[in-house]
Order: sequence, then structure tokens, then C-alpha cells
Amino acid sequence: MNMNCTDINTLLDSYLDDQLDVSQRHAFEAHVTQCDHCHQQLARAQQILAELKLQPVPAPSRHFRQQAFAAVRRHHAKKPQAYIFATGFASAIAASFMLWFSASLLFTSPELPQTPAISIAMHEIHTVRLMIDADADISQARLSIGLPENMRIDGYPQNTQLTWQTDLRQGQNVLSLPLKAIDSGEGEMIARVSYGETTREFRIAIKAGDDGVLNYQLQQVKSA
Amino acid sequence: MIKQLWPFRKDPHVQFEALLSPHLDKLYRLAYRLSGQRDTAEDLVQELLLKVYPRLDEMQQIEQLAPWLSKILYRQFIDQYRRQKRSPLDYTDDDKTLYDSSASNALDPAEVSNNDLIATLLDQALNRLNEDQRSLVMLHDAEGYTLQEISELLEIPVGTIKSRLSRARSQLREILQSMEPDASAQRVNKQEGL
Repeated sequence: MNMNCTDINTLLDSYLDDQLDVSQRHAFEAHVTQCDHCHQQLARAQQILAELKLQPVPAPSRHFRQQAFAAVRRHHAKKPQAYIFATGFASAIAASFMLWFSASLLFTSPELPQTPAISIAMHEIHTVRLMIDADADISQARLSIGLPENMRIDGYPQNTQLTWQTDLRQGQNVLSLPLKAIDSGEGEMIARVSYGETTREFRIAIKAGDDGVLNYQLQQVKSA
Repeated sequence: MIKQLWPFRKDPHVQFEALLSPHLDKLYRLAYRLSGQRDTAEDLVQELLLKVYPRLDEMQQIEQLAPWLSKILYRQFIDQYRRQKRSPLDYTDDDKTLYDSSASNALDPAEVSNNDLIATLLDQALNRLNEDQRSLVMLHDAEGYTLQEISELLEIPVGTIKSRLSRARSQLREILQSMEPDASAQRVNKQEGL
């Protein structure tokens, strides 16, 4: 296959994009090596493509990302509403604590021996699991979680109080709370389970440190 | 069996940010390649976020979110920006007038070495393409979008994109050539009958 200058001009972009078959490519290159004009045309086209790849995109303004999402939050501000029930949720788990206590709501609540304490690193998610042992099926128990000001549950940046109703099954019921410290400090997380006139309250002392080191002292508590 | 007691869905804003955040850089780059201006690119992305937030549930079901978002951004660009900002140098397929207009911008050969010539003139030459051509060249040759991706974005057949890209590149090469000192000198000589 032989090519002339018109062929080269027609096939130049296909050549640049590597879209010619082998025989076309060989014929293209054979002509270009012999023809100064086409050689120059190809060289120029290749240089233009190389320069186009170097065309810069300036970085967006410094806080663009945060401001853009903040604008969405302002524009689509959520009206106060009942929480939506869902089948489950997932969260990154950096560390996990398991605390046990019994929600023997049908009987007198025993005193917990002492308040368990945990210490967590800032801005990392630590899942605390509260295991509630119920002596019997309980319909529409009321659960509430109160957090210190420097703590949040991941996914709920605005809430330090969450309350909802749920049924408890006889046996083990687990409440998984992905906690995140947004500021340093100490405080208590208070979990309450209420049914009728009875309320069980469970307190966990939480300390969030600046040093990023996770160390926790956890006592498994199981009272019956 | 253990019963899970957590009944709440995550804050939709948190979900939205987690879903959209990985795509923000690419959307901004696309917006910049289309508009050529940082402020306009930021506005385009901001407006896109505001527009798609109510469709969070739908977005969570979309496997390939990036092309879906890119398409909406492109339509926004067409609807809101391009119609307002027609370049006075806008032209279609008649490139003759364009060459004449470029003569006054030709550089003195002493000012720029041949090696730097294309790099120096490229931005200026790109702005002399019409906006469709400029977008096409920037998306394909600068940003690395494939013909197929551009076809899906613009909702135009691949074959049409290919021929338009070829035409745009050819136009760009001719514009650049016309802006180079030798070409300019040749035109002046021609006009003066030399």
C-alpha cells in the first residue's frame, strides 16, 4: 500500500490516536519518512497533542469543597422530623467495646458495681456495643442515648440526644453506637431503657484525648 | 438470634457527602475544561450538588455515578452558561475570516523561539475554536476522555464525535500555523505583492 500527501492529511488523526491497522500504519510511516512536508505536519500535530496534555487545570479555591457541601446543607436544610427507621447500618469500625448490662425491666433494677470508662482517640470511630439482656419480650421499650458535647454518633453530626421506641426480645439485644470525638474532653454517655414505670440507666465515662493514642480501660459489666 | 436495636438512618447530608465527595475533583476538572474559568467551574459544580441532592436515594442505586453526574453537569453548562457567553469570535465551518483576525496577534519571530511557539500560542488558539470544538479537544486531548465517554456525555454518536474531533484538531493546527511568525510574514508579503 502506498500513500500520498492527501492520504496522510486524511489519516493524520487516526494515526495520532493509534487507530490505523498495521498495513495502514506502515504505509503512513513510509510516506512520512520520505516526505518533508508530511513529516513536519506530523511533528507539529504531535507537539500540539503533547502541549494539550500539559494544559493546566487550576486548583479550585481553598475551601471550595467544604463551602459547596455547606451550601447544600443550608439550601436543603432538614425540617425537624421523626427519625426514619431502616433495616440496618454500617460504619467504619476502628475499635470495638462490648458492654453488657441487663434490662430486667420487669423487676427492680440492680445497681451497677461501677461506671465503666473508655478513652478514645479524636476523630476516629469507635463502636461501643451495649448488650441488653431482657428477661422477657418487651413491647415498645423506650431507648435514649445522651452524649457529652464533644461526642457524636457517626452520621449524626447535629445530635447529642437520640430517643426511639423499639421492641426488646427475650435474651440478647444489641445496640451498636459508632462514637466519634469531635473535641477533646471528658463526659458521660447515658443510655436509658424505659418500659412503663421502670427505667434502667447506664452510664459510660468517655475521655477523648488529643494525642491520637487509643487506650481504653474497659470493664465488662454484666449485672443480673 | 441477637436483635439489633439501632433504628436510625444516617443523616442524608452525611450520606450525600460520602457519595459525592469522591467525584468532586473530576467534576470540577470537567467543568473547568468546558468553561475555561475557575469561578464558572466552581459555580457549575455547586449548582450540580444543589440540583442532585434531592435525588440521593436514586444516586445510591446507580452503579456508575461519575458518568451520570458528568452528563447533568454538561447539560447545566449548555443551559446556563454557554448560551450566555457566545464568543464574538464564534464561527462555524468558515475559517477564512478567522485567519485574517489572527494576523494582528502574530508574534515577532525574535520574541519567541520555535520550540516554545506552540506552547505559547496554544491557549490563544484554543480560544479561537468555537466552543463545541474547544470542549471536544479539551475533553479528548487534554483530559483524556475516550470517544465513547464523550459520546455518552454529549449524547452524540461516536462516529460523529470522531469526525468533529478531527475537524476541530485540523482547525486548531491551521489556527496555530496562521499565528506563527512565518505564516504572518508570508501573508504580509502576499498583500504587499512581494
